[in-house]
Amino acid sequence: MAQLGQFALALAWVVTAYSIVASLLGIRLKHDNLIASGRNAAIGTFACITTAMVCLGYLFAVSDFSIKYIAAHSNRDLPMYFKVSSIWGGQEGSLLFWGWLLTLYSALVIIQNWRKHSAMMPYVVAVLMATSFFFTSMHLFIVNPFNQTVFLQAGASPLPFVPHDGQGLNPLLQDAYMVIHPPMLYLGFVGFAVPFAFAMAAMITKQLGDTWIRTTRRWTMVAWMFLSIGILLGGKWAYHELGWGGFWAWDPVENASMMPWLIGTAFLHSVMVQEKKGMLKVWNMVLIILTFIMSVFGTLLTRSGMVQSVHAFAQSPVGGYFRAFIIVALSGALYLLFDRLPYLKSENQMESIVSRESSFMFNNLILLAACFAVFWGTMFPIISEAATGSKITVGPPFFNKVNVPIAIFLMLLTGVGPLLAWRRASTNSLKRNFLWPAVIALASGVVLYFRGVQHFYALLSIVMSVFVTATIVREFYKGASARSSGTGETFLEAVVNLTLRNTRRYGGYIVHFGFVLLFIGWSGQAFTTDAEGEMGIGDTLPIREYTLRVDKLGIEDTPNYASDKATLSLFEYGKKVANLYPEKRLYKAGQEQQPTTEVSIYSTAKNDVYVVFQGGTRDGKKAIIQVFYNPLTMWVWIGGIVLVAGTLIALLPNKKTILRRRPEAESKEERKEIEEKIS
Amino acid sequence: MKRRFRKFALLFVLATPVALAADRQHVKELGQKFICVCGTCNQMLTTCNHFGCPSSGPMLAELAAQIDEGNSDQSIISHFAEKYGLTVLSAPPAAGFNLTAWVMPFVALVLGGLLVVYFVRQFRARWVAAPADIDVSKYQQKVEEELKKFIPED
Amino acid sequence: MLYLFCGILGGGVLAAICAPLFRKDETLESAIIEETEWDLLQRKKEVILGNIQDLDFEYKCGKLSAEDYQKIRAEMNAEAAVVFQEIEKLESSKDLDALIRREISARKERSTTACPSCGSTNPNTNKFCADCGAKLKR
Repeated sequence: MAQLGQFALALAWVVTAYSIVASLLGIRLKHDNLIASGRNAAIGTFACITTAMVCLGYLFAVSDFSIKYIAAHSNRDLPMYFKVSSIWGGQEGSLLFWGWLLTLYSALVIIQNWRKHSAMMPYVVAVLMATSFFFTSMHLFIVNPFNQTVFLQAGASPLPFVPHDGQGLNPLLQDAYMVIHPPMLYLGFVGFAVPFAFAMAAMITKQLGDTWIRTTRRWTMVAWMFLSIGILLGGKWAYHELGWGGFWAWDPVENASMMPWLIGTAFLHSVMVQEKKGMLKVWNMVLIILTFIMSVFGTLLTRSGMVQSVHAFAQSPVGGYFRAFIIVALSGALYLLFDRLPYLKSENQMESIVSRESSFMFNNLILLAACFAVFWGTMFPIISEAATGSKITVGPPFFNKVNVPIAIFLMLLTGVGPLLAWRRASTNSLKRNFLWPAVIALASGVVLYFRGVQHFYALLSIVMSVFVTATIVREFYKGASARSSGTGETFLEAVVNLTLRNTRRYGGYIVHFGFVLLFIGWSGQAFTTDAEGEMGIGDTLPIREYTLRVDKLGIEDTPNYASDKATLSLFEYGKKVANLYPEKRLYKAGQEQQPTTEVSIYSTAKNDVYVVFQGGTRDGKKAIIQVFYNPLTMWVWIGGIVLVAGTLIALLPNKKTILRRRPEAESKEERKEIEEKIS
Repeated sequence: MKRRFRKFALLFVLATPVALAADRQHVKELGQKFICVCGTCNQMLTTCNHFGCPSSGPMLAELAAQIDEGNSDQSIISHFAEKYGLTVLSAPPAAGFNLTAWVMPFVALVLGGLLVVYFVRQFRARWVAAPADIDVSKYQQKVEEELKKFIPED
Repeated sequence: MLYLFCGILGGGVLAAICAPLFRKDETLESAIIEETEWDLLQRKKEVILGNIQDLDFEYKCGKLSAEDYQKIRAEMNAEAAVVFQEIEKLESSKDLDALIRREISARKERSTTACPSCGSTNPNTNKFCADCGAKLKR
């Protein structure tokens, strides 16, 4: 199977190269057969990489340790689903996975759009395959997952060597969330290649209307959704697996996923201005170029060990190649953009600073500022070292301090933006829209203040959340009332139909609401408290309205790991509410046995009780238990679900247009007829 | 597993639990200003929890001792910075070149804001009304007709 | 076994690549211009109509004052008028592209039926109205 994998990679490399050449040459020579051949080659690449993926999965499943990558990332006793997910447990495999997703997206996009956009598509193929070529080259020459384990004997030629057992998958990655987190994240990262490719194709063919935007609108949303899911699952994973009580630590790798998300979000918003008003054309190009580059940069940060990180999966040579790719892609795209500037003239004018248009611009500004702050903080250790010669750390306190005000401002805009009219809004209109939400928000702020929420930022963010929620509710209410008075539908029907008839707008509001919930959960972090104690059986530990009692301390042994486990009872106001089972695990594979923390969480809408088994005392009789009281954390995950649901709604086609004939081109016969008629 | 089991399978070496003599909340708060220096976790001192970390335990103990001695936060911070180097601080000090770390994001925000305002004005300056030679009323009827038929593409 | 798999993969991909090269009547797809002036104008028209529709709805929802609404609506009407005029001009200029495109969209229009009960348009292939479910006359 390894040989088949190698063959598939080599074939993919050749076919990708052919696809680029055939597409470009075909356009040059106006040779349609060649263009079609290039298209098929692009789809063929997908078949090749898929074969390679299947081979790698198979080799993992049968634990073939003659393959270096498998020996390093798996072991015999690993459960099957972790064996398969080990495909993306290390560098070689995760890059292969990236490359595979790219070819998957490419194949789907090509099949979907070939007939609709026949002039643009060859270029789209060329751009996608150029990106793919970089990855297939990496797979084949730099980080080949099918390389054999080599055993070097002094003086002898290297021999293949089959270790008896593998070194095991990093225990931190042996978690259900880690099975799906990387695929989601990568689906997000890679997905932005689609709008990027269309943007490039639009510039090359000079078809700079909003066709490329409308064509890729859903692809962008899909990528954005997956990236959001990926980021949230990463947070959930950290929360469950790292055991320090929080879910976001501003680690370079987390930041790496945040940056394309922020710019991608800006892009999703600002394309609306181009669609509705034909403005911001250059800006949208800049945004999609940046989003794509940031996605690749994110992969680079994760994979190169350029910046130190808890995710320190890999210190490897891929960094240089990635940097080269980024530089080539960025300069190529920017050159193209510069060259096409004359074609990207704005069709309309901005009329007022108080208008939907300008609110979109401010939204973009804030999102980009947030992205810049994250980027700056992530890179600052390197910058500082270069400038002053001394190393420096940029940790969570920095990011929190800088980003919290930016995020609150963003919330404000989330509430204000959608209520402003296009073109301009007079004071009278403003008053209509904002009076009540503002009053409600301020009132809730006052109430909360006197009920003891006096943390400035937390209070502010709750006030903002209420404000945004009020505006969203108002939008739905007003829309549904207007609709039901026109159609005679009941209010509820009107809400549903309203949403289904303009999925993008109302789905968008639901996404905003998800963001509000997420934000509320996030502000709860300001009130986290914790307690810690050495506890023997029967000992209790109080925290706020809860009390923990140790019922049992014991050992669990499985082939993959051994663990110490505590059984605790959790009492709320003296009433038992749950059993909790925090563990400390020691994974057996590899030379260094790695301990991990398995936390146990009691989660309610009000707060989480998060229990960590820190270890035992020296005499082995007591357990050191740490417990965190994390207010509102559940709302982060609920917010995430709402956000995804909203995106899914926004992806639906508007009702009414579902059964309309697709607007794409006429059939061949029709065309011929017309041609005859005209001549 | 060839270890001798007592109550637990693992031999625990967590020598210094965080529950120390000093005011716990104070240790927690001040601990966030530092990074664990073990070199692998990159966590804040108070959140570093990786098993058997050689650094965070002693550092926390030191921090607690300093607090017990009644030293001011500022002097503890500078003591740590001196002892472990600047990298021990979890955020760059707001002085010298490192001030730029704090200032740049907001500078960028303000500059960006000015740019947006500039562009809005620019766009406004180019404002041209619809050409006067068009008789809008002539098309009024047609606009309304088309509107009735119009189904927005999604 | 290995060679068989390699052969299947390699052969399949090669066949897929080569097939289009030997096909004779591949239409000149690359010659189609997607964005003729007429297309762009049509698109512009659609955008403006969509914007007016949005504006009307937002007014109905009470998001704008009557004064704002009337002013903006008048501006949008003027914009629409400009586009309509341009389309007329282009079509009367006997521009070939425009003629072809207009013919196509006229045909598309003809291939739809209005529902006798609710008036919404349906493709001819539908037997029942997609909106209200009434039976369509064929």
